Amino acid sequence: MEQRVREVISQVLGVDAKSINSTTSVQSVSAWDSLAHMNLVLALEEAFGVEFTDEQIPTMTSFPEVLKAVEARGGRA
Amino acid sequence: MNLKSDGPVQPLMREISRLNPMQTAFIESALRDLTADELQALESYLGFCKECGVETPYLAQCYDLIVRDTLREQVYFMRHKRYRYSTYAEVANSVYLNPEYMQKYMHGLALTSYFWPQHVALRRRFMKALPKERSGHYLEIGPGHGVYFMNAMRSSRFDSFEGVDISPKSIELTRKILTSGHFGRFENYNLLCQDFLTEKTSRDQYDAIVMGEVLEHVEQPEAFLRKISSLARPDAFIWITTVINAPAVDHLALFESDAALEKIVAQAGLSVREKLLIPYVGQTVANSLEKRLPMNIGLVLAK
Repeated sequence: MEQRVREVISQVLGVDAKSINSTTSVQSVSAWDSLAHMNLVLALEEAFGVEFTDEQIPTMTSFPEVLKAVEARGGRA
Repeated sequence: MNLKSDGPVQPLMREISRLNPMQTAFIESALRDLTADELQALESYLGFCKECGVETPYLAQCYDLIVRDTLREQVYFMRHKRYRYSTYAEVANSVYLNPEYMQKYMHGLALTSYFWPQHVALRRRFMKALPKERSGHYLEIGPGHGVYFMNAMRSSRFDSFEGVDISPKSIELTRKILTSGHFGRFENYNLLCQDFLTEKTSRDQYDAIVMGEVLEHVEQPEAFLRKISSLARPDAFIWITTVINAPAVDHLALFESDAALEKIVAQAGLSVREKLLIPYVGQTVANSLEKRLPMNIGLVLAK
């Protein structure tokens, strides 16, 4: 699942999947703005067949937080 | 425009960045495009807030509330292709009649008029279009935080100014901005806390009618426009702003395009004299329409 999350983040934010690690966040990726965030949330929902809660959406601002949210929703790649 | 290192804007930006790093570059870019006068107006508003006991951390929370709520609603909109709510009853208690939420919402919204380029563009067009030397009576529906209303009073020479808002908190905030003395002395105004659609305004005819960011909040936008038409003198200045495909926690009426909005305007007996359509930041109008991204629109209407 971790690799699939990397792929989705890479596609949406235009960053190399190999460079995505525990420090990847809105602070380290300049393309991660509000529109990109919305697109990322929607792309993750489609990729993993999940729907994030209203509370989760604004917290998914780093690779570890995204992973946590996908896992919490029982995401399956 | 360069920010003063000892001014009130930088501490606010730092606090917003701490709460929501996604906003940092966006706001920095928006502030660079403000004129010296606009930046001074922002500093003045922040000074007014401070005088009222509204401190920087709270203001940052107010702005963050709007951003977070909007993001959540945008995701909902993209999933379902509709706004979450469609009736006033669904949002009245959580928004308009909730003083804590409304206070935060209004302060946050006031900040977006400096931080969001599309709101800056609308304010500039409004200030340009507003007749400065005309006499008669000015009506504003939904003054909200009161900044537009106060700016209209400072910039024009209408004989009287009336504001109508359904939210008691909005009326309180507008009154506070006018009575604070921070922005000047204001006397010839009347503020009514009531439903514009069902209750009477103090006059039957107005020479200027302004309705900023209200139409998307109502169940019957055409009825609102019809009432505006009925209250407008034949040569009245009519300015409305609203949004296209722009969900928010209390947006009810969805306009899917500028054409759809203009159809309702025509059905209400009004015509478009001037139009300012502002696409999502960094996008074209065509792209925004195709992807259903939020757009802002300002219209000067004629009866």
